[in-house]
Amino acid sequence: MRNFTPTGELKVRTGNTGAGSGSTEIGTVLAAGVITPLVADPEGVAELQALSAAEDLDGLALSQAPADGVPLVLESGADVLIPPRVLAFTSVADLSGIEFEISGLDSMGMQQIEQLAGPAGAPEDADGIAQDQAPAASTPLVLEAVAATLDPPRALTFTSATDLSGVTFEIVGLDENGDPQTVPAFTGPDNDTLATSELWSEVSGITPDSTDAGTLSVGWPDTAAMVLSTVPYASVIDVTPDGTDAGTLEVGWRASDVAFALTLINPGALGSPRRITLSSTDNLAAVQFQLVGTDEDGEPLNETIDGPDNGTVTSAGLFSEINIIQPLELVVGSISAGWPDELYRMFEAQAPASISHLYLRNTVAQTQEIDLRLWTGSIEVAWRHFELEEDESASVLMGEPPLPIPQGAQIRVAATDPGAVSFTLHGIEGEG
Amino acid sequence: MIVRLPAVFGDGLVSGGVGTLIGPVPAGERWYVTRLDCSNGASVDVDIAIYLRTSGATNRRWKSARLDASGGHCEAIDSKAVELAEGGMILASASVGNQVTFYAAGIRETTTDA
Repeated sequence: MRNFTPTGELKVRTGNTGAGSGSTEIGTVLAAGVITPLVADPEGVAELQALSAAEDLDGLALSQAPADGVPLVLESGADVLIPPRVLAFTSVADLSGIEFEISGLDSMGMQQIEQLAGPAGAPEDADGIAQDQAPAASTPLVLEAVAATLDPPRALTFTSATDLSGVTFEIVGLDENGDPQTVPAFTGPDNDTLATSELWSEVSGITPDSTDAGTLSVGWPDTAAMVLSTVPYASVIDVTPDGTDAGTLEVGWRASDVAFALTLINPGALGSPRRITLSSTDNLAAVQFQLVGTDEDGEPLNETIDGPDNGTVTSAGLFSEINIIQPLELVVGSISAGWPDELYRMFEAQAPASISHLYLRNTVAQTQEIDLRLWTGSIEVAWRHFELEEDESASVLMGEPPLPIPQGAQIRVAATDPGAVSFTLHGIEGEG
Repeated sequence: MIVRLPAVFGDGLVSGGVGTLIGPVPAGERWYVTRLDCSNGASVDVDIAIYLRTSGATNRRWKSARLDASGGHCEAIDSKAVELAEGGMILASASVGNQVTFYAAGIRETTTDA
């Protein structure tokens, strides 16, 4: 059995000797290695990145005509879209007969290939609604059949080579949302073209309030249509049409309307457990961020923290893996993720232990400042603080009573330079 | 039979007024306190005083120290053990409360029927 003297020496009684023949020992090596504290890196997990994208309708591909089988010329940076975004294809031409194959990666880094029919735009047509008619008081203009379905919704243009500014027109139909819409008195053009500020998805009547000998036509201006990809893309490799058209289109994105997870440098294992920091020069304090990974024991760890306000916030938990950092709502600003300085964990007691001796040696030319701390499981106590010059060694606890520590306690240490100081830790673990 | 085993007697923060660090020692035990470390986490210097209560209700001022701001520490006990019998206690006060951490450990002696 084991027993101890009042000053903490361990007395070992061998089986064949009688009582009182105990001897003392300083225990076994509990840990040995090189002190390698973790150095803070505010962008070690995710480089500084925007949390939302502003609208840029030709950010991916400037205006160009599709040619069968020829990939569109993409702007530089198309292969890295942070944050991920839904793609918008915009054209004044009717390209609905052409399919565009999008090849890229989605927000989770999975490969995506999507077929998307092109937009059906409406090129300018000055008399597409009503052709060259003289207004007669209270008599509706004769409308073309297309007036019943205007897709995409569009403004109306009134064009005349004479002065019809004395005539007003009541326009009745549906707005771009399909809701009833009436403009009671649209003033006629004076030897020019005027356009409504409203958009129309249907025009059911255009009625002048007076008669004039001059004629006018009603149509529409160039009207762009937009189609959206079904998948948000974090990277676009190719966009290839399967047909040819003289009409041009541009590809880009609308302003972000959902929040995406941060793009991580290397999702998964971190090498050693560490807390996670979020840093920003913006005020993101109103937004929470969810951190998803695993803890020191490999168990799932899910922590939600408030965003930083022109500074850094740090998780409470230690992550050995970090897989997702997700803002819980859309916000404008930029953020990076990394880790703080972390002390090196020299030893963690798996059972009540007694530390009898700690030997340290500086193996480099630079003087090393050693900061030893004891984590008791609830608080961290600064224990020893000293310097080691080149090749100097130190024996902590030598000649002193051992240091009992409870299960779960840790001996933590910082040194000036990682990898510069070697150590051996002696003692006894378990009560025997 | 007397059994002596390493033990942690307490850890935490030193209060502003005189407060208990460890103890009282329960009946049937004797504590040999071999380590008492304190560390100042405040940004100002902190004066601490440590008291022993070895019998009755009398606290005897035992040690005092000024701990430098942010990291100053002391090892009130790091060599010969302080023996505490039943009812014994170690108490302390600090000029700034709840800023100084402490850790106390040693050997717990228990006497049992063999």
